[in-house]
Amino acid sequence: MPRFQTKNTAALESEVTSYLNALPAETVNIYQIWYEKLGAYGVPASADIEAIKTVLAKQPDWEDAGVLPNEKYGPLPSYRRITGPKDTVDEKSGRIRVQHMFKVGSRYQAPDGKVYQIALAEVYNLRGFEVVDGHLDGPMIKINPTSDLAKSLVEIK
Amino acid sequence: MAEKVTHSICVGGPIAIHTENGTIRRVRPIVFDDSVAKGWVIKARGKEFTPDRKTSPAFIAFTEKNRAYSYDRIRYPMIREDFVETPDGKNRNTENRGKSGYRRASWDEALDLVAREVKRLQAAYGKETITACTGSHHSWGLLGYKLSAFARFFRMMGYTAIMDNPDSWEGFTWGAPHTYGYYWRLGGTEAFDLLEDGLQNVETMVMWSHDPDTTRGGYAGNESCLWRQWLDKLGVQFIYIDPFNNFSSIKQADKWFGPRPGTDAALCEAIAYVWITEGLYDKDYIAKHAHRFDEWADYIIGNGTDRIAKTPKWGEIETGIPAADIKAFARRWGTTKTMGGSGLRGGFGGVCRTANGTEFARLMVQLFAMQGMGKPGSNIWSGSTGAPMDYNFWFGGYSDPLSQIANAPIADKTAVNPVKQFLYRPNVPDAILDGHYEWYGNGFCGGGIDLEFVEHIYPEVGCNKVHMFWRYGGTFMGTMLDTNKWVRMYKSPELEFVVNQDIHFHGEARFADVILPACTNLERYDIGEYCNSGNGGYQSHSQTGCSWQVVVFQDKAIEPLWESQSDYWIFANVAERLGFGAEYTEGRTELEWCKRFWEKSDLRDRVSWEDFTKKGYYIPPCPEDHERHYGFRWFAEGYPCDTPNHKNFQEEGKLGTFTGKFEFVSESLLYWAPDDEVRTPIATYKPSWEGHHSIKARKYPFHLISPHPRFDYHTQHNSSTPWIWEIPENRKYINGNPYLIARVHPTKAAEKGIKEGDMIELFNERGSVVCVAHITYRVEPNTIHAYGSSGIYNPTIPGETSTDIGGCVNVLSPGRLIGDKVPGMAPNSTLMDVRKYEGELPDSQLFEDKLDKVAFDGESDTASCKEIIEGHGFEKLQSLVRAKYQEGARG
Repeated sequence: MPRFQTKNTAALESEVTSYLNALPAETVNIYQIWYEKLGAYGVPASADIEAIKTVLAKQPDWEDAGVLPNEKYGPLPSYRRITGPKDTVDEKSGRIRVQHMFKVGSRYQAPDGKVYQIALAEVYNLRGFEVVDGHLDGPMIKINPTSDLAKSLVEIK
Repeated sequence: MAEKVTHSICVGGPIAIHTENGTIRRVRPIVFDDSVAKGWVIKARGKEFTPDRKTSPAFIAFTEKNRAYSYDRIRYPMIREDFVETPDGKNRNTENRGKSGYRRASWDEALDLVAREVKRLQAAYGKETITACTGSHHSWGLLGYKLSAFARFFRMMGYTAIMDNPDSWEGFTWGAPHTYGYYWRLGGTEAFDLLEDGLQNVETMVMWSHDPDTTRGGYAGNESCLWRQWLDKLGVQFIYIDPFNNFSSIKQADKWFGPRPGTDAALCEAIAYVWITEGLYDKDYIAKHAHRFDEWADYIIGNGTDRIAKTPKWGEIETGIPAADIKAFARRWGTTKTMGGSGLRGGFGGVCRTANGTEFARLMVQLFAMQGMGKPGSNIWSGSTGAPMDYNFWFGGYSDPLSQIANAPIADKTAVNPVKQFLYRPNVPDAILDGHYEWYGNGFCGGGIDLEFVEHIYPEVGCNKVHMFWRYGGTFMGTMLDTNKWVRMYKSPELEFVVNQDIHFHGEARFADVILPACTNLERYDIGEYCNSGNGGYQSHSQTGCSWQVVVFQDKAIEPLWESQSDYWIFANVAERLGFGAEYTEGRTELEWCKRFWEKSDLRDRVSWEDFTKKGYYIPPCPEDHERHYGFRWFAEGYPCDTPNHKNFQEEGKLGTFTGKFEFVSESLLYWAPDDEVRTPIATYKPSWEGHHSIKARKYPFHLISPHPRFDYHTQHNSSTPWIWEIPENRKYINGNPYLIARVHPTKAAEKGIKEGDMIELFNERGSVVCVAHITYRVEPNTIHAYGSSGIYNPTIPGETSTDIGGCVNVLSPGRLIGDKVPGMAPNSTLMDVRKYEGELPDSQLFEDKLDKVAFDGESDTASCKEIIEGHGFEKLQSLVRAKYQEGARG
């Protein structure tokens, strides 16, 4: 497979748009698009980066999120999804993407005002602790990701 | 008094301990009563498989009684005889460390001295002047173990932390993530439910540098021995690849290949050549899941820059394995459902601890990818993990941040280390001796591929150098390489003060200024799960190496012997002297801390604290219809990852590589380290910097391989358990010293005039070790095999870089890291020579007199080390303890 030519703007726009439409994640960066969608073949040149950046800037559902850490590429300028629900269920298999629903370490508020910190999100095994006076209080709480409680939790930014 | 039965866990597994009158009478496996639900059942090929209703600890677990009453227990706090507490830290006779004897001290004297030195040093140089490091798994339990009591103390005090290197599986951590991700598992693969897959589907098992009966599934005891017997009975063929025809191999192998050490990557390439040229790989899978496969295939068939086809004949020249055998092996693998791997978790074998270990790891992953990794019967799985378990039961392991007293929620307040300076474990001596060190990588780089490439410098900008070292548990003389550089470090006046906190008088303890005697697991309270190193930490869900999940209340079987104390007690008492005692304990006793782990886990929903502590253990049942999450199946079949401990990008169907696919040309290496000559973007076999192509091989023609020990767990058992020395394959007790067995090929032995049982000297420019020769065809002719991580280090001139008679073969291994940007150790890239030893032999281990002197100072009628070793002193020792106990009970 030859290296993708980013100067072909129409093809690039098409590829980036289709990638973003299929992406369930909340954030994205240029390198991710280069490596996962455009076929990579080496480090992107600055012209490639600029071309992708230009296409991303035109995307109505995404905004500049500044520099965010990334476990593969290190800290990078990134973009954040601003509209539309995340696709937390895989259409083909019907399986839940639990880590796209909740972030480990983040805090969520229930309608009754209780605040929970998510401690684990693996397989369909979501766990948290209630946060009281800044402490992780009481026992570990199991939360079924398809339950009403899970659906009602709102992330505290 | 009636016999009491308590339970505990050690690195060998869970045990029941029988005590009578305050002395331990025996230890045994835990046999389940009827209250424990029936075990899982796997149906495969018309048969049903279910585990025995007991735990199957390793034999080392049964040494725990001996370890408690061992001749080399540190009985009292001790201070080096010629240590002088000078006000400026100078002129302290540091050159005598390792040589000098000790005097008995009271706890108050020892702890006051430690606290004074901490305050003096911190005032003079700042908090970063103290460094500390745990050993390799010298104990077990969520409270008393390394990431809990130790971490809480040092983080509160502030110190220069030492980054661990993944010393058991270097190549996998630094290599494999660049091919398939899994950096959060430190390169190791996911083996969930692969026991069932294997029993149902596999036809061939490739055991590459893998001796599971010896390495025992890590902490999983002998649990998986039975599984491999089941596979045997189903007619699965086992192929073992190892320069040493290891103990599992001689029992089970249908075929053994013994490659020349360090050439395994060449064997991978030759296998790939056969598959590519004969079309024996899964082309559809590769088309869908691989990145830049064709470029790599071009390299294999001879169209790469080197223009060398990696034919079986080429492979034969490098590895010594006949080309016909390589071809036959490749065809068998390419035409049958094959699982396998290197080492207990598919990536822990000794081959990963070589100069070319990263490339082997990457190539091995590539081979499994070529055969459709994740499809039924095709996976990286080496028969020692992947049992069914109830994934919905959560109890933490020691590397879980949620299961450490250093952190919330177990503690009310998380302890945070204010010091930003680090050291790197393999190179601590270099940093101390040279006063400067630079390296890449954050030690265990589970947090991201990017962490491998973080630059570090010591001393950190704005920080002072380290002047105090507090060692806790185990001995680096046996587990780190180039032992003599550790000796030189300890003798340096740069280290103004050295503390050693341990149970036994190991080789490294003998270099300390102050020795703090800790007690064994059997003498304190703790809590832990069998083989659970962490459900969210590194090597998540390692307890699938066991047939049962066993959470144990580690009850105190006896009171701490002599004047030893629990590690928690020691840290709490130093913290008190330093002014943060209340903050450290949060007002909790050890038992109350144990209860916190019950409270903050699923254990609380399953069993009351009272019932749990009364019974001593809890076994969560594995439901008959338990969830299956077969490792890698999600990737092969293209649905969101459903295996535990996954990443969000896996839920998008991607691997942890840049492209989300198997990378046959690594984009992450092209991005992060395009100039890395060790890990090239295309993984390739590269002759070792200390191997048969080296100039050095003209002088030192033998390869030393020193894999994980069969008769020890790192350094913890051999030194303290003389009955293990009676095993002829382990050691031979001559003139008061247990000499290690080294295995030599008959042809080479004849050339050297060495006969069975001769004393031999293994030597190179770094040092020499005297061993006993075992002449056997079980080693590749150019190889000498001697088990590594020796718990015994006995230099003939104590405190000097002299010949060792303890079997510490790391005296010979190179301190050099795998590469400039690959900060891994390579003990199996060691060249050396061998000769018959005809010098004098000392009449002891050369350190017992130091212990005897202090022991007799404490109890005039106690037994000497030698009396205990030779079996005359053991009962005497126990009766003394019993008498004390009865006296206490009467009082």
